[in-house]
Amino acid sequence: MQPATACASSGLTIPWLRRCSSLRVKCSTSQRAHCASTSTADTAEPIEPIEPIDPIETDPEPDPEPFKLKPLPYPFNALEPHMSKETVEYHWERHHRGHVDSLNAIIQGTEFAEMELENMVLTSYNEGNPLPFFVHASQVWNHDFFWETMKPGGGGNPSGVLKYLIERDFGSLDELAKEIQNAALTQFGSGWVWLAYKAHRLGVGNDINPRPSKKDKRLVVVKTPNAVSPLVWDYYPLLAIDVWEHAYYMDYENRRGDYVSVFLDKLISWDVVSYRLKNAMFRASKREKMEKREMLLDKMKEATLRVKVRPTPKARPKMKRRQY
Amino acid sequence: MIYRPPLMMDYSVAGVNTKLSTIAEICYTISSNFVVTETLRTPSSKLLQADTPTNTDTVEGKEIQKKKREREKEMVLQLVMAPNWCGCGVASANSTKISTNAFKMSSNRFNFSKPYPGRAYRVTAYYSLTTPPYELDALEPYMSKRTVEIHWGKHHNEHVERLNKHLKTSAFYGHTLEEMVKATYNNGSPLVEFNDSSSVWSHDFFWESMQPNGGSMPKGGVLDQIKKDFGTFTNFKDEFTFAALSIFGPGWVWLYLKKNERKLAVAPTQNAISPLVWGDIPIIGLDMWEHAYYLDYKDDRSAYVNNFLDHLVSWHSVMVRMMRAEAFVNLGEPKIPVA
Repeated sequence: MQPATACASSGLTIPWLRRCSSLRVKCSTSQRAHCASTSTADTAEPIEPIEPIDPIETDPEPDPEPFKLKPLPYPFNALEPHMSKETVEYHWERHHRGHVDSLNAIIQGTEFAEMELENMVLTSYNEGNPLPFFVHASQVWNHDFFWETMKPGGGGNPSGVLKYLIERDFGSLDELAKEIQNAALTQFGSGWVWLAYKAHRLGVGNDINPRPSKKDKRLVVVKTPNAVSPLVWDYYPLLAIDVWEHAYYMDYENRRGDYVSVFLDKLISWDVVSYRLKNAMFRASKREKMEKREMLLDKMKEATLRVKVRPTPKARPKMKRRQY
Repeated sequence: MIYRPPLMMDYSVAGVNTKLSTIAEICYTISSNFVVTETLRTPSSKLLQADTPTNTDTVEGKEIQKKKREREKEMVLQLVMAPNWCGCGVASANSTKISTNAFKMSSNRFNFSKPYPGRAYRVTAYYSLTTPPYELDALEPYMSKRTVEIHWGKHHNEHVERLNKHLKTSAFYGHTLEEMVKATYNNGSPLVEFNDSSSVWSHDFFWESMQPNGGSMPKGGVLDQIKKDFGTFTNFKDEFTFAALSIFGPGWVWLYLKKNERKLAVAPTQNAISPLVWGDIPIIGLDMWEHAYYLDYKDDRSAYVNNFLDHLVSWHSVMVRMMRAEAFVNLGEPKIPVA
């Protein structure tokens, strides 16, 4: 297991630090207090000193582990009694880690090793003809997303823009819950259920909306089979529920409906979903502006092409000067 | 422990739903897997019960009473004597065909132009949950009782109920299960009934592929055929295990007989697909959906498959299925005596 990110001064692991970094981290007192209160049984390892990189060095050896298993944002037993410690442990330790290891094994040494995960998911999906490591890349992304969607003491109600959009597009939170339940129960086999922000785009050059309206960008509930995620359809996912049986079988056996309703009532972190929504709306509007700008530039280019410009003025007979 | 020998797939007689309450149901249970569960408007159970007693003091009351009795008599007759017309062509084992004249001369008049005069009445039959040929705890410790209870009682049952729900309005009502699987697969664009019908068939097949004290080696002809097609028995086990572990997500792994090539082969499939859709004959089916092994083995799929092959698979049912398959596929060269 790769060394957990450790705090320089206290030596405790940092559950709140998302990305493993080789930087020294010095915790503030409040963070140290947080770490002290929520430290798990993970071993606290001291940070190794950073070795200075020789700039004239030849290409470094390829990293045997381009992708690392992201630690959970909470300890294994934090989601009890709605999701047992055993489930979380097995799910993260065996299934999630298995995908990370398989992904590393396949892409090691190839050009994909330097890609970001999201980019890799889209590339390997290959427009419906997935490359062999698509399932692993996608499952790693999906599981990261899934763990962050939950939090201990979750549930409650959404607020702000999220609440407005839910009420505009579904009617009420109960309606949304019903749609999510329906999607989960009708997903045959394994898969995921998503709430996604969909900017109404086809992604082809001439998809000009003749009647644009504010409702074009909306929230949708989608279900995907096995390892697929709505990223491949150009949606912005906000919420993910893992309906693979390994996610709920030990706690709920075959009662997928109960699992989903408990997820929505007691586990979901609406803050994270709201944050993702804001992110998505920003990215979507930025993208729209960029595309409009590109379209205008293309039009201008076309217009300039139509204008005929003579390289030299037309040859005219010289006018005779009058001899006075 | 009760162990009954495995059944031929199309001819299973046992495994019938034991909730029978009327004459009609008793008559129809001889056909496989079919149980009369309801009629269109008048449930058959109600037909034989007394209606609310009409007041026979008045003249009207007497007439109504008379009509009721006649209708009841007619309907009972129709139940017992009805030929194989139930609106959609269900084959009933009780039906017989007689010539129109003979029928008209007979005392059981049945008007073909108006089969059910007066109120519409139709016998409908749906699928029921077949029981595994052993007690639920008979497969311990390789498959716990709880797994079998949930797998059979909840998942398999849910598929049966959903299938029946589809059949109420489906054009495939009346098909046998195998036919329905092949037809609803629709060459790769499955129709809505495919998942449930295929799951029901596959799960029936799965329970019968196992037996308590199973596993070990097959004997005789089965072993010879496996050796012929896989090399050695260990080779077959390795191929089977490899195929099982190669499935991503839910699926099944099958040992099946290829009709065209006339040999056994191993193949994994996704979700609820089975070799029936390829026109081949399945011989062993192993459920690799997570619900089949998660409670016992968590994510250790290789242990599950190895235990299945070593301790659970019923070579007796394999033998029976091969025997049946030989009626469709010529597996050996005929021994032509040399003059």
